[in-house]
Amino acid sequence: MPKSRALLPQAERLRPALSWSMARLMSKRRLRREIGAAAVVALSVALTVAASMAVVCMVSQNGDAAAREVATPSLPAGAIIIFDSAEEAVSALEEAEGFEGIANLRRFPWVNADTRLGPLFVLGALDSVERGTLLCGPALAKEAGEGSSLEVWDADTGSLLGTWTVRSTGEYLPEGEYPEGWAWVSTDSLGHENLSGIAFDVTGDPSVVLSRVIKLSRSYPGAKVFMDGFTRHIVRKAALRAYLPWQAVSVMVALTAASAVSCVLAVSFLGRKRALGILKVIGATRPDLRRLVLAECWYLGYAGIPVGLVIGFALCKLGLSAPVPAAAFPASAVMGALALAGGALLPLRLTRNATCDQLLNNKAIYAFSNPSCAQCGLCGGF
Amino acid sequence: MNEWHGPILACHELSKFYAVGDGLFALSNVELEVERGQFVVIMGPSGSGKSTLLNILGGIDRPTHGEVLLNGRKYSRMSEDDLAVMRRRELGIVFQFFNLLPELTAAENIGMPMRLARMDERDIMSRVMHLLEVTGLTARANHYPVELSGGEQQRVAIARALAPRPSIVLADEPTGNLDSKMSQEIMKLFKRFNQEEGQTFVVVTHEDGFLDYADTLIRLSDGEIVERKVLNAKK
Repeated sequence: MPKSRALLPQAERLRPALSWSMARLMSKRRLRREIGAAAVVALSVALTVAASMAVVCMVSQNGDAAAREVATPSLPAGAIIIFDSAEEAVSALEEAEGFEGIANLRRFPWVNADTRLGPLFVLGALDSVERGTLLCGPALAKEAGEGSSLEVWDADTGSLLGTWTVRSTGEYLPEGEYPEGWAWVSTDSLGHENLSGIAFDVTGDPSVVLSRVIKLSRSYPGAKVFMDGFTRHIVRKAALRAYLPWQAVSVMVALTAASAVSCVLAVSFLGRKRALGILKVIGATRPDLRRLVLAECWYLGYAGIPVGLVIGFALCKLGLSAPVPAAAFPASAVMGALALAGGALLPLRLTRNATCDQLLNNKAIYAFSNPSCAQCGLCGGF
Repeated sequence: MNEWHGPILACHELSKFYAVGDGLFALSNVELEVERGQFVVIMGPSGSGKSTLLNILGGIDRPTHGEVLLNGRKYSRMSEDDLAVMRRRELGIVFQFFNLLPELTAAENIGMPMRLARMDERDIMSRVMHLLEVTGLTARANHYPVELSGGEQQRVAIARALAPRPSIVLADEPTGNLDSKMSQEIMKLFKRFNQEEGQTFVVVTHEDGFLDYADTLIRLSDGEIVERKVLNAKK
């Protein structure tokens, strides 16, 4: 037997030789010929995209957007603040600079905080302070005007709570001396026009707080949301819990679409075993066949994703009457692309395992192994 | 590239066993050497293993035992992709049923192996034009396979196999699906390329007409070579 020569250069078989333009040309013509199968896949992708968009819109409308929008460390004017404990609220306020416009008009557990924090006013709510008195530290009382009257508005209802008289504590009270049930407001919050911030605690049911935040944020369009990490976690969990059925539907739609795409692509792949075999005979390698499958997916996505975005947009606007956030478009398109990519896994796997003989002579192709003994076909295969 | 001076194609102790029923040896200890520029015709009755032999020589199928070497390279050491790369460079195959790519026109089908071999686009175009002219298909260049007759499809398939100037062309009953007039044309085309471009041909056929053009006849029966005959030795 003559001495053997060296093998062919490895780089040549690893790099696809079939150009993208040629792969796309072949795919386009093939899809045109098999327009029925192509339409099924494109429709599956479109439905995935539309369903994803509906889910994004519903979640966004009902709180996920609030959960995602986190302000910078310095509290902006018009902040809505959600804290889950007094300590964290105080800590956030300490770190914040220029936290004007912060008001809380509800009961807080963090009344024990020291007024050294800065321009905070203390709203008397118990017997020790006459109702209707705005109690504040001496410097700030001076700034607001000792004995002056200020209107206080309820952030929840937007109604006038009453006119409050500014009084100085005379001195900063030491920590712990403020009675429980006191709350703080700033001068900016005392007129309705200036009421630009509301603070809540979330020690109660997060989903109740969440819905209140959403409601209030609509009343105050300029308002921003600030949350510490733990609160964000609670709010997200509440949002997830509230919209779990929607998300489950979204995942189910994506999986169904991926299965449909996978089946159609696999059937399409098997339907042209011979053509792929011919390509192998004339020198196409696995990367070339993979490129051909991907080019086909590209076209199906190119058709299915925009259609899905249009259907999804119409569904959200007309069917669900939900606002469509800008992020819903890329998010839904990515979902469609993922369904397509998931669907392409099986044909790509078959492409990887198929031998020239199996393709050309219509023999079974195995997705997970390629047994050399499988002449009988009892091992299954495609 | 072709510094190899041994036989262009060789197979040693080649056997192919199919585990169906009681088991069947489609090929049994086949020894074959094909020299550069030879025109070899393989004949034999149906079921004698001709197509199996050709499939193994083309790297489409793997033998159960034995070794095939093309330009000195052992198939057994090659992966599927190695074999594909080797085919795109050194081996052209023609089938009985043409096997053209349905989504490509005649000209695109002919150009495809050259594109896979990463040849320059201008060279591809000039080669395609030349082959279309030689095969008499210039007017049919932009037609899809379904729009071509059997004879035209086979000529496209031959042009495609010859396009990247492979060292060797294997043909499996290339005239089996054609009328006698078209068969003659195909045979002449093979001989023309054999003489003008020096390409080596191994043709499996039932057609006695090929014997007029062949240098060597190999007759197979029950998977074994039963006759080797030099018909027209090369000078």
